[in-house]
Amino acid sequence: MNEIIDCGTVRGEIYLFIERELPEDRLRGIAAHIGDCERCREYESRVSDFESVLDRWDAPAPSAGFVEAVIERVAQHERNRRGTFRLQALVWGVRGMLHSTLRIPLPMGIAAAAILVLSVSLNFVLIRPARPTPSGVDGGNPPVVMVPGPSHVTSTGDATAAGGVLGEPRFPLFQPDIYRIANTVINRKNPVGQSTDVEKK
Amino acid sequence: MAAFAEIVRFYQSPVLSTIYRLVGGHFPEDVEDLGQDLFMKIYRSLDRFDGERGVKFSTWLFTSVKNLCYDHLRKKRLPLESIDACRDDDRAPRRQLPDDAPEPGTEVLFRELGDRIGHSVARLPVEQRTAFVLREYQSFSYDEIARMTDSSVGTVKSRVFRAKENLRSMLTDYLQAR
Repeated sequence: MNEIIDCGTVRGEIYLFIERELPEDRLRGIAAHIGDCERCREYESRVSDFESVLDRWDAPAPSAGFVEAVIERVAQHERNRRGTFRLQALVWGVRGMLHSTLRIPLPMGIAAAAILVLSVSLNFVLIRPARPTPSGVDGGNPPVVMVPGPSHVTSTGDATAAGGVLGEPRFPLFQPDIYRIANTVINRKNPVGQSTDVEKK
Repeated sequence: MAAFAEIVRFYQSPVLSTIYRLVGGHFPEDVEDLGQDLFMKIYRSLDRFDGERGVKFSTWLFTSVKNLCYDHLRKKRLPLESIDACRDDDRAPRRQLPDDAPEPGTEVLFRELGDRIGHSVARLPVEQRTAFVLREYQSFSYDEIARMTDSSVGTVKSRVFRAKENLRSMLTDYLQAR
């Protein structure tokens, strides 16, 4: 089918004509019109010039470390994701254990754990007895339990002549037991009448 | 990770040049950061790409490029201006070809011309600019651009046509001097 191509059609479709983005018969019709029309020929020439000029707009090349920078960000993302996943798994594990085994809701479980941790911490901070010093002056030597050796024991129980030393108890909660054990050992080793109590300084 | 590095290596140049052409005229310093953001976004959503639905990876990728650039322009509160508004906008410096420009065909003149085109493209309305850049510099078909921009093929053809006419008008003095 031969279509009538006028100058308006050429101007409206000139870019598609140059790109060959029109149906074949349309391309032929426009080409025929341009062949006949001086003004459209000049117009087509100007547009072709313009199209060739557009190639002169270059974009800068990517910087040398671009790929490495992207991969580093991806690796960081993966590390974060794994960390989050582990935490999530832990939360779900604890939640499952509390809920399925003990029938305790998660918030209650967290509260119980917090109370447990807090109470253990308070034991160290509050229950631990004040450090006694031999001179009674703060800042003296660290407290020690003096265990007198058999040959140096006096009837007055002078602990300053000690032959052995128990170090500072590491767990204050059990400190009374250490005193008791020390005294038991000493009394067992010494005959009746020569025994003495370990002084709590 | 190695496979993704290959994807980045293969697409870094077309992606960065498209970002540069879409937003680089206003924010050239943001181009590589946006490129990194784009590839991170692609990495996180790779599992959502379904090649069996007939969508090419490049179409999917450049749709993300377009969206990222639009978001960036919105975030920077840059008006997605019309060409008429651009013409009245004197804030952007207009480059003039130097009087002592070397003869046409030299490297300096081409670089100057490239800058001039870039400046003119930056003044196009963003939808015209997008259609023009994807068609002219990435050689996407009108159909693919229509999918990327969620428009009809006719609309895309019209945008490319108007973009070129506007550019031709902005570059008239250079084209006449050739």
